[in-house]
Amino acid sequence: MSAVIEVKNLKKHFDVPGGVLHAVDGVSFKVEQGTTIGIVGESGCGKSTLGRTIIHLEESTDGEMFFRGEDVTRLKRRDLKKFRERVQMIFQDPYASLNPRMTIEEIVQEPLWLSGRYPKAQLDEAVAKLMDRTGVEERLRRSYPHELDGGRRQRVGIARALALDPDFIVCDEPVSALDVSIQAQILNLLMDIQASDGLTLMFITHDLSVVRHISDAIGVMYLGQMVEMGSAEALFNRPLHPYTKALLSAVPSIDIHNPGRRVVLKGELTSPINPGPGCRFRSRCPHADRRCKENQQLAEVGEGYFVACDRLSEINDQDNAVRNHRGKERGTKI
Amino acid sequence: MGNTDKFLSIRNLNVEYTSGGDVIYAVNGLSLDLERGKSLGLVGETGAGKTTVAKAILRVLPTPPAGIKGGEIFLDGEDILKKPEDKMLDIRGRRISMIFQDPMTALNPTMKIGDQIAEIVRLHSDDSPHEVKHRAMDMLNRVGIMADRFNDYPYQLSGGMKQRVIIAMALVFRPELLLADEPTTALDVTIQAQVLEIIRHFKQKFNSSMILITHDLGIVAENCDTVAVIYAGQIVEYGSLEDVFDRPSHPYTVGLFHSLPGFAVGEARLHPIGGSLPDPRVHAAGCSFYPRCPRAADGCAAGEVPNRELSPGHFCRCLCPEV
Repeated sequence: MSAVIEVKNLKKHFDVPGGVLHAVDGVSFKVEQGTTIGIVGESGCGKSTLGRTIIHLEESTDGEMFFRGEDVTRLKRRDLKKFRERVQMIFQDPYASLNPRMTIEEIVQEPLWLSGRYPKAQLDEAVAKLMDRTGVEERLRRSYPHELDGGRRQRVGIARALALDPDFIVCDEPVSALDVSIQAQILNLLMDIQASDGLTLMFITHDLSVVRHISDAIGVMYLGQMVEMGSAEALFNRPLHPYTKALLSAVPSIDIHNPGRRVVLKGELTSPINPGPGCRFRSRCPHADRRCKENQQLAEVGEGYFVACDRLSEINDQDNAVRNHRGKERGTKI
Repeated sequence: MGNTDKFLSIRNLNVEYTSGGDVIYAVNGLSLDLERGKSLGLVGETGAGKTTVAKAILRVLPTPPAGIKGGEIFLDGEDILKKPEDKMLDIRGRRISMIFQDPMTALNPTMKIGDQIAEIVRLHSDDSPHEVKHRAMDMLNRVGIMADRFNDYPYQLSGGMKQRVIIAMALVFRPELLLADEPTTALDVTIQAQVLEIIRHFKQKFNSSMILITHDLGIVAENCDTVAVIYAGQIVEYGSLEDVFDRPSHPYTVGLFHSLPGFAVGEARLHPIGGSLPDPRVHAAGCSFYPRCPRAADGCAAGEVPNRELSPGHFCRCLCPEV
């Protein structure tokens, strides 16, 4: 057992006008040392709140959290400070998450001197090392965030996150604001650092091709709950939950000769305020019937592979039948 | 002229912005053709000049700071850059419409969504108030919004529904040319699929031509007939979907494909394009991609780069294209 982070039945609810918003509603998973878990889902599914709750930017409503086997669900001030040296976060918008009045040097240096681990004389060198590792040019030391382009700003965000040599980093949409060519640079950087430091990552994104590239395991969230979770390869090759299937099929493919079969979902994400019992996807699910009004539990359907749908085998039989039928119509073998 | 195959033809377009004494060269001698009823994907990264081109066609660039410094834009054989402003009022919203990226800012937050559609109908027709309202309701219905939302304000709608309202406004007069500027970038993938389907449906029904501006090559693959890759205000590669996707030739196009995480599944490392966009304040000679180009050669830094026709209809602005 070398799970760096483990959460059990984690909940984060917010009181809002009109009721209780179930942002994260009973999520359980663990992340092994040196691996990356990708969390995907659409806006409002609770993926960012999940990340923020795990690193204690939000206080959890219920459930348990463990860091290297140690219970970190409730932390006192001093323990929280220690915990935050071990876990870090990289944010989506590197412009909003860097203090515009601080130079790049000051931004990267701040966690170092706050920790009190480095004598003043060594700070300079430590900063130079971090900037070098993340590919931020030395000449930018005295620059301010607004003078840098998006890619460089995100490199500074990464340098700051790495400053105290953390064990676990939550990356919340770190490349979503960047153009593809810059996005590729940042993804390579994150993967290089992970390989050399044995870092454990949680990668939150709505971009499915990015998450497939970077993750070992993937969890798919819908309205505060995990609906499918397992190895990245299995999940992309053979998605089982109707929502995962629709989500993957909705991604436009660059393969112009083999357009995939698209499941276009009706409607939109329903409200996470007072969601009520039953499967939360049922209002948009093409297979829904009255049995879906029962609560669905995330159940292990294969080794380390979990899906929250009681009618899984029935639905997948139907889907396969449709596919085989279509295949015969076109006279192609499947 | 009527049904010429070149329905839209942009010739040597130059657009500059002035900003605090600096001149920003946004569009530099850009030429493009589009046939009636076809879709062109205009692909490029932030700052390449995609939106500036669309706004130039619609003539809604803020002047100053922007200025069209040269070139011609022929719509059905007529140069719309030479038309007086009052003639443009008839063209905008009727013959050419635009769908903007951000549905939150494109709608008036203090006006009911039904009234915003009705306003366009009133502006461009002599319909009676009753007919105007009927037409607006009908259009809402067609984009999949129930008529009982007519009196809703934009804040009461989700992002996907707001974008449907924008589409309803853009399509109410069955425009001949639709300019869609990143129409789904702000939306989730399942909503994106719905919105693209609506656009496809109407485009086909009205036989409209479309310029689809996007940075998502997957969206181009599924929605366009021809592709133009734009870099630093110039088209660097142009051709049919098959030309550009099966035989990408400009090093920048090749770099874009190789940057995609989905391009080579299973490969551990991506192959990004090094460096970043050139400074748009510098009007450099030679190829604008040269400083980042893995194939850069001696002749690339100076002189005019020819726009070569590699095969019929497939153009590439490069001295040493990949073939």
